[in-house]
Amino acid sequence: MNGFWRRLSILFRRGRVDRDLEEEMRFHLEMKAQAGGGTEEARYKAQREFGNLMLTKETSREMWGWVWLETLVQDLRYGARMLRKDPGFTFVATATLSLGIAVNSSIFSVISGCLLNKPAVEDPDRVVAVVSTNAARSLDRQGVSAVDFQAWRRANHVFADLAAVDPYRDFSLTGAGEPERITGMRVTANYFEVLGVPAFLGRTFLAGEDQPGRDHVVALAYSLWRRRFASDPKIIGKTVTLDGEKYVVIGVLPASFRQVAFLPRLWTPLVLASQDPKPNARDARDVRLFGRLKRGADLQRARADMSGLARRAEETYPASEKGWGANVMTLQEYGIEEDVIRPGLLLLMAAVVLVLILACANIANLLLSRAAKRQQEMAIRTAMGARRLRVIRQLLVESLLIALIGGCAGLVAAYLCIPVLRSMIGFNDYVSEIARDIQLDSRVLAFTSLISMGAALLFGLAPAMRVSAADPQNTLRKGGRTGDLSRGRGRNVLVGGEIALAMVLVTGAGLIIKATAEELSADFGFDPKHVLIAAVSLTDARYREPARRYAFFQNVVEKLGALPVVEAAGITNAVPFTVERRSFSIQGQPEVPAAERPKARYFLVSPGHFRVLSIPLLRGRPFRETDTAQAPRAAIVNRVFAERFFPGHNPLGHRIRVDHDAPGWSEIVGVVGNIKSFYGPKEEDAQVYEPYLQVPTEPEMWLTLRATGDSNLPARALRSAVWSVDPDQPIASVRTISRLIDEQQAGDYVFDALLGIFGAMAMVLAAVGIYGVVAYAVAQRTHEIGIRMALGASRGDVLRSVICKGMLLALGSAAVGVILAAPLPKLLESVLQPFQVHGLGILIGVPPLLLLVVLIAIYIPASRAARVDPMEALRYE
Amino acid sequence: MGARDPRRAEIPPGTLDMLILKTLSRGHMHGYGIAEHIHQMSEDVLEVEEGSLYPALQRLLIQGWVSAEWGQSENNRRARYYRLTRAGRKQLDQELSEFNRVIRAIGRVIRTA
Repeated sequence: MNGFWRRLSILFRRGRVDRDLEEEMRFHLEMKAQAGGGTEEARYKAQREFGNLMLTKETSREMWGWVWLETLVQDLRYGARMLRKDPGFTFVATATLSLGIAVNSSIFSVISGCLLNKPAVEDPDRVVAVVSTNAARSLDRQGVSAVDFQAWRRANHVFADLAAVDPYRDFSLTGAGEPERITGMRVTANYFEVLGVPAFLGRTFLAGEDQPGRDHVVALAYSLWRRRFASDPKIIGKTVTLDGEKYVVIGVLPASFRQVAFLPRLWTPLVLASQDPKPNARDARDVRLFGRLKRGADLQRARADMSGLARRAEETYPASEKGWGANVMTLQEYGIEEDVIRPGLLLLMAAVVLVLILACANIANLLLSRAAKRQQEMAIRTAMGARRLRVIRQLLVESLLIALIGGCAGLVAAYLCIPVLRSMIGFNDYVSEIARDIQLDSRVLAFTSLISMGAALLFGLAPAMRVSAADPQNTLRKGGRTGDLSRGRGRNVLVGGEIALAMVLVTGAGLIIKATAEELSADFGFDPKHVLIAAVSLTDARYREPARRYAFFQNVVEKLGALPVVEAAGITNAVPFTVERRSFSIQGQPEVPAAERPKARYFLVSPGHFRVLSIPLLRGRPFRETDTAQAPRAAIVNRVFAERFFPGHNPLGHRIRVDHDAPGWSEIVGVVGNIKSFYGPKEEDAQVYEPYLQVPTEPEMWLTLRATGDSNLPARALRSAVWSVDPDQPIASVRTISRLIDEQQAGDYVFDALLGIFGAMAMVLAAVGIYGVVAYAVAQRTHEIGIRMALGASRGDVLRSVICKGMLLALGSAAVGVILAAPLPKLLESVLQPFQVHGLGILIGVPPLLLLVVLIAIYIPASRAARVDPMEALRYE
Repeated sequence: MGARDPRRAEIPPGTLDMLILKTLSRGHMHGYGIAEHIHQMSEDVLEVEEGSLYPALQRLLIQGWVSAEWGQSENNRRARYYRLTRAGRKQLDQELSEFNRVIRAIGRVIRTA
């Protein structure tokens, strides 16, 4: 170790070491000569015996082990000088590379933030989620029933402890300030202990606080504490009102803690009934389980253990458990619906890697052109005794310098791009929460340096080998006429490959954009303009009676309808994209068990709702104010429902029974148009509506209203209408339907926009590549062109000849590209399920487009060739 | 480089360092002095080549077994003097005992063979 420090200190005193060595050797020589008699002859003898002074000095110096570094520094200095001497080349090469690196680092930062980040819990690899699975219904991450949780918590062999959460428990927070709807989560008392997350202020739940009577305690998320309670440091022990009941604040969670998969702003204890569960308790798979693995237990063993327990439940309770299994997944797997996000991100990554490869090919091309010019320099070095490896190394060092500059510039560009990307991605609350993690973190830095180095090898190695392989004698004899390399097949292959790759990328991007664009432009079946929605939840004790809820909604809708800016107002249990499916029966058809009944998207609405969304009535009558609890029950179905379940019949007059809390036969009184009830490229689905006055409304409903124009007025009017009926009623998610649609679609837009950008980059890079090659060839052939023109070739002939040569290359590569791209539609369809990829148009359309771009790129140097003045060209050579 | 004197022997590999250290254990000395000393003490059998002497001295410097400083030579010239450090003395002892052990072992083999 000591030796190392001495070496290091010597590194900075190299000059002195050299002088010392030289002086003491000269002294040695003199002493030797003196001992031999001091004559001229003795001097010669001494020198002969001493041998090569330089060499001895060098081997002595090599003892210090820094020679490699010194030559590296030499190479770097020399490389930097060469780059400075050719600023045009340096700029183009580094700019191209930085572009490629910037897109790679940016996309990788998204992957790093979204897929690779570990959740902010203690020892995250040991914390897992336990889910129910049902292969027959293709469910892979369902919740677990509370009954199973209690049994599994006792019987498992793999968890230090297992906690359950109910993620969908929202609360009305009233008291100081406007009433507010807060997303919350109920958790068993051991939850935070299982995750290993300590409180930032106060404490987390104590054992026993999930028992009835002791459960009125609440832990706040950092963001809620900061926003709603102004970061009150004395918040602990104060009471807040949630759903009309008092809760004591016991703690605030740290800002870094983010719940996996959900976005709660507060946590309360989850009270599980320990005795006499309800008869259907096994079917209520509504809690999620998180466990901490014991020392020595791994995912594999946990999976085996839990499926064993699920199998035991299946044997004991076949009625409810048949077909249900259990699975264990890591928090990352659980937190991100990988099958949705991962393929998209990986596709983007593949696209940017292609862009980088294209950029590298362009730089390699530039280097090859330069190599042709520098062949003489290299030949001289080789002739002077430089070893081939040394020459290669020196050229590679130059490439590394380019990579270093390009990498740094790319990193800066990525640093500037990431906030843009983050805000583009933050199209809804949950995603923008995840997007906070998209940063230039250490992983991204490591990745960037890795790809920069890789790129340097990619574009630097081939030219270096080419140059160093040249025979010095031959090259020197030719005296500066750069011959063989200029016509190199290498560069044609590179450019051809570029065109083919660009073809693949553009085709792929085109296919994906087309597939999603079809989805984005699909008809909604309703008019989303000027529609405002707001969620209200009548969850507190005052609204336990359904009649009170009716009265509330009735009141609010009337108030809203009376406003001049409001065209129509209604209520519904579900807004587009989050509509539940419910099973139903048709009267007159044989009864089957609930699990085998057909399903339809279910809406519970007021008469006004159809007018708000402008859903057309196709047959029969709409709901009326008279469809009350006293009137006979009515239902409206959509066109798909009618066609699917009453093919060739008139559905009006038939009766159906939807499975919910108050099942009963309802007569179909009308048929309406289809609306898009969820976002995704699936076939249209059956929908059924019931009047909200005939079914006990769910506590959580949406107010909908159509305004006469765009303005902020309705939002304020809506709030005051609600608060004039109930000042303690929070209103959540006030937004326009257009905004709702955006939140669903923004992801696809961003995805498409990015792919479009990358496709365009690929096209431009390929065009620049072929431009470079043709321009270089034209410059090399100026002499020849001059002779041809002197011999009578017309400008048109020259133009045609250059364009033909270029296009021949382009056509050949395009053909290869088409062959490579041909399997893309199938491939992408399997990756992008359930999107359908209709590829023919794109497959046919892309080659002409790309060839057109290439033609333009070739035309520029070709026209320059045609303008060659034969006199000048010949004189110049 | 002319013909070799047949009386001279190559310094066995690995022993040059030990010889230098041993030489320096008598006091500080410059490079030429070290070479001469080894030459004389070995009764002209061992000749230290400059091409291995100076790299070896650098090696010993790196190990910290010798230190070097400039001083006046006997004929009033500037010369670089090497001196054994404490670590060098320890190293020398180790190498000597190891060397003796090996020599004795070789001797035994030769005698009994």
